[in-house]
Amino acid sequence: MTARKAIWLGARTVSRAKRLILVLWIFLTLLAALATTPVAAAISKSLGHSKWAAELIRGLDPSWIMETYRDTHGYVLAAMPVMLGLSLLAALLAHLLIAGGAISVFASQDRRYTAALFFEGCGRYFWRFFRLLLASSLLLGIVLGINAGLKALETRLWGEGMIETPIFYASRVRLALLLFLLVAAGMVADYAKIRLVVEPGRSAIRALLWSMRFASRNFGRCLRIWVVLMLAGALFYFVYDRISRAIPQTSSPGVFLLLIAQQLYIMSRLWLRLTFWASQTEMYFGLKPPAPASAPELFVWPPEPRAVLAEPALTMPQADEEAAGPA
Amino acid sequence: MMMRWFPLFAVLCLPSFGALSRQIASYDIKVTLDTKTHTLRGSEVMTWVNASPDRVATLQFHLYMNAFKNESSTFMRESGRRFRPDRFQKKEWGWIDVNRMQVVGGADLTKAIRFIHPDDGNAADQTVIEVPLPEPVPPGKSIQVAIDFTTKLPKVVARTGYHDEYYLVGQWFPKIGVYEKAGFRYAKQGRWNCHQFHANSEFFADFGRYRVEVTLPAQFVVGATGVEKLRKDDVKSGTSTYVFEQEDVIDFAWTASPLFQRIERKFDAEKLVSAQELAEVSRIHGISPAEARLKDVRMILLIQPEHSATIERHFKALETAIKYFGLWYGKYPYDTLTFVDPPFGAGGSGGMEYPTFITCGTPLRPMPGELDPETVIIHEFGHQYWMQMAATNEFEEPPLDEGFNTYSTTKICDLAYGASRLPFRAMTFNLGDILDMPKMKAVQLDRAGYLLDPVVDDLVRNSWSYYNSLSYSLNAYVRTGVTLDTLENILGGDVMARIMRTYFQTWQFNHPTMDDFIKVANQVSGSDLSPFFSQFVRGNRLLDYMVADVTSSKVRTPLGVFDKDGAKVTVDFKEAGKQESSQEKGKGYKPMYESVVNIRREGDAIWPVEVRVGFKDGSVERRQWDGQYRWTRFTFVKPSELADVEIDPERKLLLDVNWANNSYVMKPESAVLSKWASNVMFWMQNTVLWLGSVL
Ligand SMILES: [Zn+2]
Repeated sequence: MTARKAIWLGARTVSRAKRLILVLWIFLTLLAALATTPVAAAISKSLGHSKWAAELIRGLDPSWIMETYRDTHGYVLAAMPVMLGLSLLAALLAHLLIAGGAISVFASQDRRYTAALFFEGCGRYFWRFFRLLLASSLLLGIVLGINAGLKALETRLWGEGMIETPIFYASRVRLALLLFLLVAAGMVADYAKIRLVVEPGRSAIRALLWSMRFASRNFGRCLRIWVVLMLAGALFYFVYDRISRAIPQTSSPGVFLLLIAQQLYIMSRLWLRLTFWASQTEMYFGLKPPAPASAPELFVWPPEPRAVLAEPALTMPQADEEAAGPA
Repeated sequence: MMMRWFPLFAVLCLPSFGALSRQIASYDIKVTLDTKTHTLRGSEVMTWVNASPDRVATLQFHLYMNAFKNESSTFMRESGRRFRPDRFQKKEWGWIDVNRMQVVGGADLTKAIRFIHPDDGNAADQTVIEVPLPEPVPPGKSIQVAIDFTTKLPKVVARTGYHDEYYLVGQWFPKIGVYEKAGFRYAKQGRWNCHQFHANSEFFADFGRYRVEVTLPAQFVVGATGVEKLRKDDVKSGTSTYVFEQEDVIDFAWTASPLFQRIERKFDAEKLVSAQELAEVSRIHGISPAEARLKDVRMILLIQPEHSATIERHFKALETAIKYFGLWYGKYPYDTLTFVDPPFGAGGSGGMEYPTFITCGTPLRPMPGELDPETVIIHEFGHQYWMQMAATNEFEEPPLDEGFNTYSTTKICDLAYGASRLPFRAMTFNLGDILDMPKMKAVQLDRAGYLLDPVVDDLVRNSWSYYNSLSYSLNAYVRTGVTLDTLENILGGDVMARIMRTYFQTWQFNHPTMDDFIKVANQVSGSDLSPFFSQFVRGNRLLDYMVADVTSSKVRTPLGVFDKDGAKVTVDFKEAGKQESSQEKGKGYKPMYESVVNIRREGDAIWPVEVRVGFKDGSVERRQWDGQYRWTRFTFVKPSELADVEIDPERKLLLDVNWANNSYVMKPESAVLSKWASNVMFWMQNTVLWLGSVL
């Protein structure tokens, strides 16, 4: 299984599950609206009938921001972090819910979205994914620890000197490494999720350990999926950026066009996220994973159809099967 | 014991031939830098002229460096954790010892030295000393005192110190206070003005001649206040000795580092200032173009080699500053201006001003759209006018220096560079650029800063008497800037330009006060500006006008019983309707509208305002309101509905804390709300998605 094929299959899967994107978009928008409301209320109170509004539509004036801050006695600004924190917490939990549903759909036999399949998946895997989150936060801790250690080393080597250049470049290299490790950690967490959905085991730690082995053995392929989809994401952003700058945002029709462009971009990001999971699921199936590392459990989870029906039943090109076996 | 007076120096009281100032306090200093212990060993001969009619029996000196001696100093106490040197090692504190003080050819004063604490009574503070003299200095006479001192430099903490092999040596020698005779500034009787070193304050000193001899290892590149007169290398000891001289200055600072790249260029007044610009200055001020002409200046840049890509930006910014300050207030009279780019890790010594010598600072990779390093170069150069030549008392009236300088810097930046991007970065990219945020003018940023806390204090106070450090910075810098901008809008650009130039020309080298500025403003503008100054400078009034409510409706036929031709006629709904429809049928009929506008004064500041009322047929009515009572009402009966109302339509009053409520539009533009709500929503959605992609 090559990365290209996995992405192609993944994209095809997602294209069959358009309604899933819609469901996620509605959910995401409701969540964001929660944090947007107080800000919108403050803008409305301040500028609702003000002549200044017509000028500010071209761009924010810092002194208007400070006026509003004064006018609302800082309530809105003070409420912002709380609202942001709450919506991020909600986002986190929602992410765990959705991942279970989405991967259930992508790992199903015909990979077709049905509300029942999706929502059942959301509920069934939530706690397993929650435990996985706790386990993988350890991984995140290690990554951040490495970053902190390197930063301390930079300070020790060059922090007391008079030249910034080495520390400037070293910190860029460090940040690139940090990004790389975060990607790797994210990848490991994703494959662990797939493993938890596809295989009968329920242990998050075992799934994580297995996934680390899996990701390191197939690192090139896994990374290629990430790189290709990130490039696609960058392209989407570039297109959105060009379009939004081209729209004259000084009148209602312009603002409406901007709103459409923004929400299309958000949908493209949702598509990207789902394609990630779908492609990784295809990669998982394509690589014929080794038998579960876990010891047989006392309670054997009834095999789910998609797990049993692994490769042959799938209408998936098989050409590079040999090449894809784990090393 | 016989004291030797120097009547000759009494002549120095008056500007000597060619000198610009009265040379009251002059110094001849020899100093050696020990780079192992970061210590200076110096000896100075200080000549002080008693320009007062008093017999002065004591001398007071600043020992600024003791501010960094321990956590009990007033500087450290006031600054709280801000300058708390978390990692200060034993060798990183700074202090100064006076080893010997002696009247030249006379008594040894060393034993009589005592620390005094005129501002806060903090007995642990050692930044001011007083020495009784065996005999008072008579009026018009001078005294020479020889002082041996040792200065241990701190690790760069606030403005001064060392970092690795870099030295920025400021506030480093025993420096005499200012003796104020009765009637000088705010003095009711003769007194020493010699404040302790505070967290938020800078300096005040008399003018004088400085001759400073610096000896240090030969590999160091050196820059200083004034002109380098001599360099001697001693091969045997591996040291070099530099001699710098400057007159008409109030202080002396120097820097040394083996890493500096030294570049010298000429500010070519002929080339950089056009005849048109000179003509404009001569028109505004009624002077000849020759009088407006500037002088060539040697610009000496000491820059870090890793910042060499910014050399052009450095020089362009300095040229811009020399040009506009010179055109607006008067030519820069000194021969040199040295500007220093501190190395990485020594940012605390950047952005500081000394006579003919400033420190700036630049990011390693400056962005084209940002004004970093330009703003700081222009600002620090500006201090040559307010801190150095006007030489105001920054301890007692910080706005006269930092605030006047903010006003000037902002004008120059906006004029020469236009709107720019704030230096907010994500990695090496500008966030404003990425998010397509608009560029900002410096004046917008000043007003935004002012709004943080507009009237917690009077504008002018002792620098250590403001509510807190934030209030000090807001008042000393941006609030003064915004106040002067508002004054300029009220009076007009030309009048304000004349006020500023007259103030500077009248008071340069003479230590003006805020009262002196107010007098000049009243005289030049020809009007009594005391309502302005008493509310916004000497007071803390909040300026805020608002459009409270607005109605506009058709004038109806009145109902009721009316006397007509001796009979009582009742007009009811039906009758009124009949009358109205017959009117409407009439040729050229236009319904009349009654529009009522209520304006309120929300703040306690009273200032006359203009109110502009626009109608749907395009007609405009303008009204003046003196703002005396808390509200006023304007009623219009016109054949058109009201469209919008605006107080202060030209936005002259930058001090008004709420511009959004200064206007009212009957039919609001909903696109604005939609746009920003849509943007906020979009950013939130993206944030949530980013979080999702990491997990
Ligand atoms: Zn300043």
